[in-house]
Amino acid sequence: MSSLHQKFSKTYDKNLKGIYRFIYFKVNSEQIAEDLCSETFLRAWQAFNRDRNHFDREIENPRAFLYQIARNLVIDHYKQKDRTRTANIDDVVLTDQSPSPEERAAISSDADNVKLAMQDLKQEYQDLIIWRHIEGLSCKEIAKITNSSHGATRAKLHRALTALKEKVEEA
Amino acid sequence: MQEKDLIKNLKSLKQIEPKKEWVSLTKQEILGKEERIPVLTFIFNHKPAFASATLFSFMVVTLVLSYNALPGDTLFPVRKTTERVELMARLEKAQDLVIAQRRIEDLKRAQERAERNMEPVVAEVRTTISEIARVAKDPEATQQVIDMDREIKSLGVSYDSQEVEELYKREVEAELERLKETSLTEEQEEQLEKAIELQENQEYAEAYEIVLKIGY
Repeated sequence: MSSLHQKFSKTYDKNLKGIYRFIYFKVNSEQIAEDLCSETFLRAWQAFNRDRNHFDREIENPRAFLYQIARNLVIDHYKQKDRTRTANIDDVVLTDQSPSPEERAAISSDADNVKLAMQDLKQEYQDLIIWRHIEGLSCKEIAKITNSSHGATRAKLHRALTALKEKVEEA
Repeated sequence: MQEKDLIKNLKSLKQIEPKKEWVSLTKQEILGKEERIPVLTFIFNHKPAFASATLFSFMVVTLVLSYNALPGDTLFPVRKTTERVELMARLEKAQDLVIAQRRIEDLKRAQERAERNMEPVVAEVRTTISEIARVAKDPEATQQVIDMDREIKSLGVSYDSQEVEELYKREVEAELERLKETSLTEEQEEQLEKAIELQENQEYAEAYEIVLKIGY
């Protein structure tokens, strides 16, 4: 295996689950999460092959690079969804709101309520909560991904958590 | 719910993970032949010939199974990735049209299975057709997209796509302009009036069908 493959393989192993969860919590569908997650890594791999030096610079923080791709793909997904609506099949719900059997076994009903409440938050708050409280990223790393200051990130994170708490209580 | 409980519940969501089978297959598809799965590492290091045969068999089985996967099946993401990689490698200009045609074939196959959940199949068709409709600029590509849309509707599947609608609008406008300048029989004139009325009501696909019937 070439060093290129080894390097990307490690990046894949280390980040796959986090990227999958990040997408899953936003689209709430296993199938769509799988599609967008594989597309995220495929694009990263293409970037890696296209310009290795460029990738090395970007991959100074590979996690941030992958989250940026994933975030853009989720935005594109929702744009696409807004553009295309069904007529006769307009009642088709593309996102499966109910937890899968595996998921049901893994998380409590309280946690499931929190997951559902998170769907009602604005995208920016969702991102911050997923990164900080589910994936355990530091405020410093989140600030790097969002290209904002450490202080601003902490303040937004606090507001995001307060908003989530309100949503959970409303539910 | 207290903040500490909220955070505890959030942390527990980390237990949600993708399917292991999908994780390893997707990695294989992205990285290609050089990637090895851990369980085969020992074999690769000690029995190269056997390992090659094993890997080859594994890949063939996976690809064959995924080739027949339909939207909603576990192996469908593998098939989608394979198609993207394969077509990008070929630098095929009409790759999106090829993929769209495959999604229509999927739709036909899915309809043959009575118990099949059609939702993901139709969603894939709609997404793919809308995407190619969005980028279709030249008359040939426009015609191909419209033909595909008509084929889908002939299968009894109806869906709404602004992008496809836009193509019909464009085609109908051009055709009606041309027909207005053409000598028509009385019957054709009646059809033309009807098509113009439909166009005014923004029912472009229906107007297109009538324009086709006029026969010019």
